[in-house]
Amino acid sequence: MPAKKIDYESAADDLLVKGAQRGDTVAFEQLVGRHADKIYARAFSMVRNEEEAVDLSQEAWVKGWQRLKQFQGEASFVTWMTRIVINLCLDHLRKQKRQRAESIEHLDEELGGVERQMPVVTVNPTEGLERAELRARIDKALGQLTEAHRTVLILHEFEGLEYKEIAKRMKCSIGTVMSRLFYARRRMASLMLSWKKEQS
Amino acid sequence: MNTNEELKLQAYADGELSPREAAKVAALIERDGEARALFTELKRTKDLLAANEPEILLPESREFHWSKIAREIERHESRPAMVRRFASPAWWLKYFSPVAATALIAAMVIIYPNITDNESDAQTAPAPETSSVVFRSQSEGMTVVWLQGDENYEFANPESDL
Amino acid sequence: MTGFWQRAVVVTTALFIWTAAVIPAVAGVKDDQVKLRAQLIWGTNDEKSPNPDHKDLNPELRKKLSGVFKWKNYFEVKNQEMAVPGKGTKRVRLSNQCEVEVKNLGSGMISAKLFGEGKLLVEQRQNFTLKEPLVLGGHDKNKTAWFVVLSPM
Repeated sequence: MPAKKIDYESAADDLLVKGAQRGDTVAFEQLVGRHADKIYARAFSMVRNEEEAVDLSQEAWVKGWQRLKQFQGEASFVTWMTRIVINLCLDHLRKQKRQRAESIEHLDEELGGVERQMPVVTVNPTEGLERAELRARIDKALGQLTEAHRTVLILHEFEGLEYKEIAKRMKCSIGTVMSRLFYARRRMASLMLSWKKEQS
Repeated sequence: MNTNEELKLQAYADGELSPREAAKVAALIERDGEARALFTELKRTKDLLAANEPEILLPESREFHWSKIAREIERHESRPAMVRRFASPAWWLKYFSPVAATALIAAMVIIYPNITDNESDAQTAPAPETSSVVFRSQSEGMTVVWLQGDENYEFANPESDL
Repeated sequence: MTGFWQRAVVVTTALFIWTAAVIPAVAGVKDDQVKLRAQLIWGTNDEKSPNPDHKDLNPELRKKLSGVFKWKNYFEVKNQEMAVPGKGTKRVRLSNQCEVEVKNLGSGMISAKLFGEGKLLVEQRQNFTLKEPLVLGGHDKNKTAWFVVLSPM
């Protein structure tokens, strides 16, 4: 039976995915167009390098096309694609880490560095900020975290993954995830407070 | 407070504790001011991030991004260029189209023999060792040929000797 | 007249007009010379170019390039006008390593060949009657980019 003609612009993701699974590249192009920002944003948030993020998100889309038959629709298409790009970024960061010498940063990740001694932030450091300014500060603060702290924060806060799932993806223990998340949050609070103090 | 208690406070904020453990931590927050302050800080940071993910946009156009992806898919699949496919045409159209196209070309050759010297559409012929992607940017109204590959040509860099 | 014959007359007339007017019009311009501008452009995220000879790119072309590519700034390295006679070929050097050869195929069609260190890198045909620029580009040193832009004049 001939396939129904798709109105690509208005078709829902599910319909485009079905078309793409049959080999329709126009349907896949439409999916790329819709979700390219989201996939790139996740890659950039993790690797913090524009060029690497473009390459990784491109690679994720190619993998997505190749594995499209495996997509069963348990999660949304964009969630499935995001998982692919996250795994690619984690592999990329692991490779980079292997190439670098073990450093003080590594010890700091586990011990929490200076965050351990930081006083609790009792005031709301972001009160009165415009949303765009707030997002810009969050982005800047994320850029100042170590890779491990930033990754765990992204996977937990932005992707909504549970400790167990993060541990599996990052190939570490749940205790390490909890510890990294704790110090990442404390560092974020501290950075936000220091900018508030600078401003006032 | 020890590290274990601190991490329990966080797990409580994240909803990762069993009901029994959660009750214990809730009681600790109730009676201990230091625990309460730390819990507030952790919860505030968590909520702040969850509601304010930085907005990051792809720095290149969709068309350019897609053309590179299509090129990679094509390379992996080692098949002819990915052209826009249309949903299964009627069976007769599959046979009729080549015949009609051939007839049209033949007619054009007879009527205007000199026109076949030229080609009416843009075409790309990359050198054998060069890989390139070609697309037309609808929004910017221009055709782009992007050379890919590991080799970078220093055509415009100010550090190169011009 | 039946509906069939009426339609046949309309279709035949339309085809006649198209054949008589459109095709000769296109074919008639095929031997005209093509005038174009060839620009070599450097794309970078740096605010300024260290080379004082580099010029700021005209805002229209800068906007076009920014709409497609990720680089934040674009500087003009070389700007050269070219007039290619009908069926003729012109070759210009835009930098030490970069040359472009344009062949006028007639009817507003051109063929552009890009050479890097004398070696042919890519050939592209373009219909210049559309009045749209042709952009050839690639990565340059230190995560920057080069662009050769051919614009009809």
